[in-house]
Amino acid sequence: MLSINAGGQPQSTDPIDGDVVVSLRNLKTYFPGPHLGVWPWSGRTTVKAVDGVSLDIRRGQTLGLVGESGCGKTTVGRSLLQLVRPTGGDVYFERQNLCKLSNKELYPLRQRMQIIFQDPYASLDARCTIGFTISEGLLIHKLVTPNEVQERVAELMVTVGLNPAFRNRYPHEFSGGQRQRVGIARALATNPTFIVGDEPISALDVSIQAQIINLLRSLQARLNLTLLFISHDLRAVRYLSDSVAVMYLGKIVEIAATDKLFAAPQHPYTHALLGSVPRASWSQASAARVELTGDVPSPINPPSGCYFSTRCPQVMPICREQRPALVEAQPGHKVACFVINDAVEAA
Amino acid sequence: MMTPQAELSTEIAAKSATGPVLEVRGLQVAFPTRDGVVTALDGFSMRATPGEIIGLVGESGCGKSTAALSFMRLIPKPGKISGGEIWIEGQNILKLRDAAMRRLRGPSVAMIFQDALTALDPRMPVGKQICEPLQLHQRLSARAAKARAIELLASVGIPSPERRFSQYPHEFSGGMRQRAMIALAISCNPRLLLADEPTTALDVTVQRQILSLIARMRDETGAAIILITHDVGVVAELCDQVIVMYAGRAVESGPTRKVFTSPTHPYTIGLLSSTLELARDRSLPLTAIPGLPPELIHLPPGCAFAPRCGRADSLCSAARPDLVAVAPGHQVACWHGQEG
Repeated sequence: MLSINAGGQPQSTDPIDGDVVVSLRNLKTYFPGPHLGVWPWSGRTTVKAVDGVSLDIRRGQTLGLVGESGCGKTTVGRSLLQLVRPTGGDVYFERQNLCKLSNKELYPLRQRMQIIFQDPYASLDARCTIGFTISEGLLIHKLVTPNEVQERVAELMVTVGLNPAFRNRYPHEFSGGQRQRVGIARALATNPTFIVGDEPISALDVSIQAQIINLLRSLQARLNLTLLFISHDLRAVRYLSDSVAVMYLGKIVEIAATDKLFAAPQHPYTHALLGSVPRASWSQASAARVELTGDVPSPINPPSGCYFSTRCPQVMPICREQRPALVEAQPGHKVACFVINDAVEAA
Repeated sequence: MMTPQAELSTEIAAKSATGPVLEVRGLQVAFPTRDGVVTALDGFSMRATPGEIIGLVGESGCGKSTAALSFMRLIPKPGKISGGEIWIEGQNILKLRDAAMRRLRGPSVAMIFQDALTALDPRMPVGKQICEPLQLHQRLSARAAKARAIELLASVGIPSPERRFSQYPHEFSGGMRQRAMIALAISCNPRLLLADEPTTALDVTVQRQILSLIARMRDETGAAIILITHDVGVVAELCDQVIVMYAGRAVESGPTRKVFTSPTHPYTIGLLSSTLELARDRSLPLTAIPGLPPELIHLPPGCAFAPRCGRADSLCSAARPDLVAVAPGHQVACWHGQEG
């Protein structure tokens, strides 16, 4: 399911398997951090929000990206779509390297890759009717003639479970779940092949979350969508994804097929993450838990060696000195940890 | 043989150990708005005994936070408690004068708020904020209060508490701030601790730490804890009792295990089955509750859940069901509760 070229080396010339819609090669996105001193000329620190992420997403599949707040998962989604220009690395979307394209050249491609934002309150323009919000992409990319717009908007609203009669209403007239449906309709409007879902359900109530998850699943099956599902909710990720990547401080620490990752997690961080999820069922409530101490370190001043070494229950001396590389532990299951294997990351 | 005095003191101890810390009867809270009166709580009753963790669970707007605020008598104006009684340690707090109520906040009832960043004063060092109730309620000297505050910071697992004592809230991470809030809430050994979504703003690994801390606090202080959350999983792990709320009323209550293994109210059943779980079969679609929660201004005359309920009939939309026991300690407010 998860294809990662042997050796894990980014091969920029290799024509990636035609089935792979999106692939990231050593993606890096850095942001300027706080100033080191009080003077305008004193230097600035660098926040390495995404630090060398490589992954592939195959057509019709969902890759779940999990991690705690500040680990860079949202930045991966945004740099992938070039909403933030990456600092380094390559992003291939249907064999085109997006990082090498100008904004103008990207324009026609945007029709095929869309995003659903986290906050349904902030991501809709309060001064536009939802009908206009949904139709904007259609008109910009000239996908329909002005006469057909209303028809297509109505069709989209039905697809996501909204009453088309509401098209002239404004976002404040809708509940959170309904607004998220508008956000999904907007993303679907241009017939994209690939959608980034950036925490699309985390702002919603439990019963509404279930509605949106079911909607995403049925849409994906019907339209053969490829999804990058970004979430901190492991339960939702497990439910929606075919494979899962776990991020910690800008790096992927483990990536595998969903069933494999949840059945046999390898990295100590994945272990702790899975153990932290509250369980509502009584059958397995007594499973042994790894409780982590402390907080996630700051990405401005990450620990030397493995980034997880400050909180890792199985830490070894080498972990504090060198950085483990993400290599295959089992076929299709990659882990970056010295406890599992001793590959060192190239500087 | 015990001396009469010792006998008396053990009797008092026994009484205070078993009697309820909190007893709420028919509580009503109303917020007047431009469009009409919003009844956030309508006939809400509950009780809490020492050493018990009770979960209040429900979706946003169901009145769970309003309940906690009314136990502190902190309902923001123009909202007010329009009916019912709240007894805390044998006193009807709705009859108390403001000064007497203030004396109760801290030693009798304390609250952990959801967002520690807004709940803590940004202009005051964290340590000083913890000293304040100690000096006010326990009449500790400034020096003794500082020593106790450092002890409290250490007890909630904050590393190097002496240094942290003089730092401001913005210098703390999210998890640390929540710990500081807990230290502040438990500073006067409250007999009733209200925790309003204490972990919602936190990451899962930190959430786990805070939940263990709350459980430890219960074991150490014997306080009654009311945990407000929308996460069914958190309730399942931590709470002895659970009250499921919908549109300002309790729809089901009872021992957590009982309610979660044999849920009776259709809303509880829906809530549990739409909850994502690690153990769930991925190939099956989630059973979502159709529709939306009702607006509290326009509540249907009958059962508030009737418009979304598969079992609803003419009785449900005509008359509102009250909580009725279906098993010892297990109460359900549903006309069809007995059939399930």
